Amino acid sequence: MKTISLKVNGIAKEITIEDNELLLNVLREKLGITSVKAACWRGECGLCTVLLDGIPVKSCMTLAVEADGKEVITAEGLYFDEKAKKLMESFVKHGAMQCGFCTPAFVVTSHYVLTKNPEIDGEELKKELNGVICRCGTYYQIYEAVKDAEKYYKKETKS
Amino acid sequence: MGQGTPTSLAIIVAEEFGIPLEKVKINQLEMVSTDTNPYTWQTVGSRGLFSDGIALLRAIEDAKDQIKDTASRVFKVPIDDVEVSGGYVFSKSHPWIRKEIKEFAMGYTYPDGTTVGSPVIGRGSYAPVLNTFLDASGHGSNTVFHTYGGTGVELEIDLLTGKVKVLRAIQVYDVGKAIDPLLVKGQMDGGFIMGLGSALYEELKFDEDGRVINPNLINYYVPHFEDMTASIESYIIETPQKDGPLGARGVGEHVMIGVAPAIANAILRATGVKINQLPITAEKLWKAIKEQKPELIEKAQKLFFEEGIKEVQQV
Amino acid sequence: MSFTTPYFTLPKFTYLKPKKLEDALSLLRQYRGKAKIMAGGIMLINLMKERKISPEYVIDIKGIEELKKISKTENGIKIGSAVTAIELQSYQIIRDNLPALAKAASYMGDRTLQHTVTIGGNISVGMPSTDGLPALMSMDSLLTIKSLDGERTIPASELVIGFGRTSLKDDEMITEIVVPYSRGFKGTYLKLINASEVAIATVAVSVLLKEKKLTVVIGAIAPRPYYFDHKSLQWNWEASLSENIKNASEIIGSSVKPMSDAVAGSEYRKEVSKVLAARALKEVFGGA
Repeated sequence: MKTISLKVNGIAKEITIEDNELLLNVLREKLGITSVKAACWRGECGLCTVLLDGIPVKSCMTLAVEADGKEVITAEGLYFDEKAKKLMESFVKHGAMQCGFCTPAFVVTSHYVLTKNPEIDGEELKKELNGVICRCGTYYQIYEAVKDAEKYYKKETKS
Repeated sequence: MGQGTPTSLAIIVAEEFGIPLEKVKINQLEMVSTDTNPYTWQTVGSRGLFSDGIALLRAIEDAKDQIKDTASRVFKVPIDDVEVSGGYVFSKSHPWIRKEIKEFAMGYTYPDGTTVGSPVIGRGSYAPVLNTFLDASGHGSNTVFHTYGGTGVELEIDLLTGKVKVLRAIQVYDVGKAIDPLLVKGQMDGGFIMGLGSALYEELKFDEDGRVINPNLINYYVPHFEDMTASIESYIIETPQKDGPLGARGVGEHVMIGVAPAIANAILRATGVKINQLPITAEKLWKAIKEQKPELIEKAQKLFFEEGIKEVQQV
Repeated sequence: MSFTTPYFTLPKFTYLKPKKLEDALSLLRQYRGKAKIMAGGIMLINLMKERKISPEYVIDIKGIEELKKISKTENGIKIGSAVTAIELQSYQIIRDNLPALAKAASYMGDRTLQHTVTIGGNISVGMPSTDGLPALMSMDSLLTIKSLDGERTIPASELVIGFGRTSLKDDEMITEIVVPYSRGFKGTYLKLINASEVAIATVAVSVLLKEKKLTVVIGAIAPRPYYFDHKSLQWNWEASLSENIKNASEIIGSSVKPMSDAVAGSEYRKEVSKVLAARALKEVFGGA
């Protein structure tokens, strides 16, 4: 048992955990953050992707204790980010979801990608998003949605 | 429950009553709960919207009849003269006699508090009537609708390794009526990706004892982002299905069917090599080329060594 | 809902995160045989979930700064073992000098995982699918291995000794990779994958050409990559390139003994090794 302190979606938290707990379990079960989906548990599907200090990681492959002193951002937290909100609206506009199970992971990952490079090359974008699987095959729509949202990220960097 | 069904059902309700889409709530959990609802007649064969849509239209009709009954008494006109649409309940012969639909939801209440009619609960159900089992010869009418369409692909084959890369895809499907074209387009593009997976990648493999040897998403590979073709064109044709909801028929799974044959036929057309087993992995295609058209491999090798290299100077 | 079955959980262990290399080495000695090193942790965490290993202690080395450095010296380029795959692709010093390694790093898992995957972890898992090892072997890289007793250096080709097994002792760790070249050579890394880049490869080929020295390494077909140089390939610097490549690919084809697994069969892998090696050779010699 040990207590870790971390910031989750902007809110400071102190949680008591075991060394062998996965960040995924802590987020879903102890903090009730359900946009982080549990699916393959092997780091292959990417549905549990969160931002850990701004970098996308698969939370099923991350120990909770590794997040000690760091900041975790999930899709819930991105709702309060102006740019990310536009990105989410772009997902809706382009119909970039069918069953919706992978949507939070795609939003989190593409928010990271666009923040890093709002003028990303199309092939590079596909590579960046290759870590998340959409079984409904909505890739074409997600691609359009992310490309369309580039403008919101560009504006912010200029000002 | 299918992936566009609740949205499409909401659109039907909004259109039929002429109310904003945001006012319609489809309770997805209730929809699939057989504790509170009858069993939906199969969400297989992409008939979710077809069956649920027809049941819903019947329920809407039932609800409208109840509203009309109450309204005819309030308006003091014959029931046949009452119409429910565009968000209003009104008299067809005296259109200025009208009230908003919501005023009839709980029965109608007069200004003095007296009421007429009762809360509106529309009911509708559906089961196909003309279906039969297939007979011994495989004939019969075992489906309620047939969705027609076609898929075409353009692809590249690496003759020396057998690797196929699909560059371009075109799909045309007659969906009867696209209740939400954005969703239909998504279903069509997504169906192509699924078809691509089963055509080129997905295969459960077993060891001698019958255990699956690829029980994870790395070895049982499903299409990833990078597998999307450089271009895809999905066209919707609308020839109404007369007995379908607003003329619609199912489309979800149908799109997937054409992908593998299109790829296999493109390979056949390009190389003359026939492949009748899925998935068409690079290894399988390479073996097939070697068995059926070994001269192609020889030609490619010759091209590689003679055309590509002769000009190059060694360091 | 809680997941208590194996596969969704990890066995019990104590997590240790030393800040200094000496501390990590003394922990490794102290808990000899009971501890595992965690860098990116991808393979470690999955093996623990499958209960294939259950270490009592997990030593996270991500906090050790000196393992994350990349530097250019007279003896070549030094890469700390905890440098991530993303860093290998983005650092100018690697992209300019060791493009084949940068390319190999772009194949280490998907892009999200590449933020966590480390070069040291990638080469020491002893899996055929590793990308770092063929690339480093073709560049005749040396591995610095440390324990409390001191330091030793081995060629990258001597690291993996079998499926999931390395020549590392249980109190040793790889601290640094030294690539003895920094300029004046050409290299490439090619891979044949049935699907997109995240899938497991059928064959991987890494080639290095420096003046009259040539190496070809074939990976992904066995836990230990196959190493060839101009001598074993009977390369004749006087003969035509076309003849040389044809001859070399035949030698490669007759020497490798690829495994058969869920990805591909042995016969196909052998044939594709020849094709890919020929293509890689053509590329480094500048043939379009």
